[in-house]
Amino acid sequence: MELRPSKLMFIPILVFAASVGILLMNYVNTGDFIIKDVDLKGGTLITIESDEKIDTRLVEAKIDETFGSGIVNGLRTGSGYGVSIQVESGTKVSDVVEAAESAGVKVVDVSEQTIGPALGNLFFEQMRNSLIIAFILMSIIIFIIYRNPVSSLGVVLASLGNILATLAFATLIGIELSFASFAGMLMLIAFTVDTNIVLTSKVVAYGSESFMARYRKALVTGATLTATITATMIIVLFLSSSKLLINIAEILVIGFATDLIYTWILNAGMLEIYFNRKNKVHGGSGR
Amino acid sequence: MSSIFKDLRFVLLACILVASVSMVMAPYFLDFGFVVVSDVYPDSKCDIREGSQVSGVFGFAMDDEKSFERALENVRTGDYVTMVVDSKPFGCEAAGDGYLGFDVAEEKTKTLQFGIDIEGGTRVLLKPEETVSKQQMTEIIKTLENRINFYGLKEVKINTLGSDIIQIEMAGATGDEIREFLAKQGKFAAKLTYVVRFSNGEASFKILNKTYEMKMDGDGLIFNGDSYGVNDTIVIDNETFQLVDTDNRTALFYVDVFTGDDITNVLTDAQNSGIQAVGDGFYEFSFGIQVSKDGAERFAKITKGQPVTRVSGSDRYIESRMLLFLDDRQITDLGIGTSIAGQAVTQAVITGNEISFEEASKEKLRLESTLRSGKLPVRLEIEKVDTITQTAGRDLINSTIFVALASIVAVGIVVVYRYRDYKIVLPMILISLSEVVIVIGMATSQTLAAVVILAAVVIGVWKKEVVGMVGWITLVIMLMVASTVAISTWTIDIPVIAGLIAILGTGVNQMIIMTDQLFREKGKTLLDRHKSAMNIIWSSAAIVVFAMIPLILGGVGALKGFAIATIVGVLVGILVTRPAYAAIIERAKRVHLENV
Repeated sequence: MELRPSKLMFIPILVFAASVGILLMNYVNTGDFIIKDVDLKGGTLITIESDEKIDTRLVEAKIDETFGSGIVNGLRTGSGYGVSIQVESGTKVSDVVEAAESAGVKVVDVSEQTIGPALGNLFFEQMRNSLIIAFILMSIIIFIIYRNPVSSLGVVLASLGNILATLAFATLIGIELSFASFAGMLMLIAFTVDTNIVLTSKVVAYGSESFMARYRKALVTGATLTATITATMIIVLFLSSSKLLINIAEILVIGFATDLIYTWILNAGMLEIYFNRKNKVHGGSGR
Repeated sequence: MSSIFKDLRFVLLACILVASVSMVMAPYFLDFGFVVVSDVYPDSKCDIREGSQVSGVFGFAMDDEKSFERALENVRTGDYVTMVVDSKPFGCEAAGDGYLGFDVAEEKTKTLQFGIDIEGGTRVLLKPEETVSKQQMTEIIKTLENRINFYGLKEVKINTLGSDIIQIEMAGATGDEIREFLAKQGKFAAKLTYVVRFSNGEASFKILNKTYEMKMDGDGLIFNGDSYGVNDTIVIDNETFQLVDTDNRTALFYVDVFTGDDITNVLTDAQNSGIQAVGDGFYEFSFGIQVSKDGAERFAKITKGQPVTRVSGSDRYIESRMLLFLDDRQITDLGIGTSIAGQAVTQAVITGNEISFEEASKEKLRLESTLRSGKLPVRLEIEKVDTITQTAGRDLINSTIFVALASIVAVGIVVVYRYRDYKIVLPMILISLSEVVIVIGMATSQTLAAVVILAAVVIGVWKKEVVGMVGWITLVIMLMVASTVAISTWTIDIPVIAGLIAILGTGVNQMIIMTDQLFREKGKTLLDRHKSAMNIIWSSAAIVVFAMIPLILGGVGALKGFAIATIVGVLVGILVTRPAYAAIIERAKRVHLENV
């Protein structure tokens, strides 16, 4: 028995519900749907470079003890080891460095990035609005291109589900979203719509073949697209030392995984049901 | 089968690619044969301007900074150095051993402009402390620009983000320079000290022949029946007296004489300004300011009739001193000679001491620039500071180039696995690369950018490459965005590099779609398949472009470079490289078209 996308549509629906659930849970717990990084919520990020291995757990315990709270992460740096410590803006850098030293960190170099909470919030609002506007513009373009409510709605819903699932998964595994993450989300919109367009164009264009034959053909092209971009992004994720590039890559890797569900099950399922119904009405060859 | 070299689509790509490569590589091969004067110091004995071209020193040819240093190796202070400047013979005395009092730099034209996240530098976001009107914002920006111009800072960019955030970027400048100079409000005030002496708790003093009386009252005093404490101000004969300090016999006042608004001119010519060593390793700088008539008359009023209280050599001074403040910090303390006391003096001298000649000339320039540009209407708060060292930036770009190459290899592996046909894979990879090279070329030269955009659009429209209404709308938007690259310099920063990676991604995506559409669909003519491929590709391009638009229109400019790079890449991709790719693989695969 072959697996038809229409039979699997419960998967994207479950994923959608889970995504919304995760985002809402986070909202209830923290007051934000997502986890924001320093760029978007304000604060001070202190990066300490060291030439000795750092026990981040020890540092985190010390920072929590001294300042009540703080986020500590291990880093890849040019000179060897590093740790980034995120505290509320207004905390003295020298105090944080002292705390790190007392937790056994041999400090070689310290850099600081501070951003006021008001400005962080402004940045967040602008990025959020950019994402919403991009989504709306994309939807309009899709409706103009297809002039068919079902094919258009399939793409738009797939894209919406994909954005929510990506945000939810990022939140679930604790990725802090930055400026660059939002740039990644915009690229994600563009790239996942590509796979949807490939699917829709192939399924719509050739009436003589069965739906599944056309679907498989589209899937081969779509999988190649996904594989190339994912391969590139995994390289960036593992080799780059640029925070900006890594932030973009994280989003795209997650987004392409969830895109598989939304494009090739949800959108495909909708198209399958639509075309089968249309063909029954017109008495055409259904499958 | 006609030759690929006669196919316009391929020829266009080839021409643009060659032009881009030569633009990017040109600086590495061209030797200009001269160096350019980059900085002239006040102690130089050479009558030379910044920007002059030095092509020879003692008959040695100048290729770079090193050859300039080598030529001056054996020069001692006071030696006469012969040069060729701006193609004319020139000469002057050395101001030090191996030192002419000016710096030179290699001529740098047509090279890529890197952003501060690569080149190193400082980016600061400033926010006015209170809400400002649009007009005030314009005034703030204008004042900042003036300061930068007067100070002679180079490569400074000022932008507004949103309605009230000012972004200043300086390549090779420190955060301190922005904090201590640019972002300062620059509120200037000149005040006279005025001492009132008491006996038995009472005092009388004269201003312009009018006598006033005061009484001591603990730490404060009583005037006209009102009591005043330290820091309170008293208005006497229209002048503002601020009580600064009292002891049991004297009260010290600061009297406002004039502010920055009263400064009509800053005098920095050799007669009115200079720097000299004053012993103990200190250097004193001084320059003149011209003051409005009102300010001068206030000065005359307060200083008139004051007795001499200090004699130094042949100079006799009155008790009042002139104090100059900038942002409430005292910068100068001047004694007032009897020759000017009571006169409406329209000129004052600002002086200061620093521990080195360099520091003194820097501080002098800062003060001059601040006074010339005037004060900012409101104080600015520093909201964000990012400082990137040059090595960190270089490391980043090197690692990013490595990442980009590794990404291309990864893409290569995927498409080899998928197609197993070098006739498809090779053009695909090379064309993706050429797309990135062309965009970098366009960043190098505005002329090239303009030519590429024009050629792409003219030939694209002529050859009917644009598909559908959405295609035309997208084309217009791409043109609008891309033309900004042709009319202003384009700085390569990390977001732009992220954009280049996005270009690589969309490029490969579109070529995969095209390949599958051309060779994996049965039964239709090549022309039909080409058309449906172009349909999909234009839709895909439209989505990318529209997704990037909010970043360009949005207030925060941080990711503008990313969006612009991506859109320029899509434009080049869809009008130049994609048609060329089609031209290549349609020929390469014609024989076994249906067997893929």
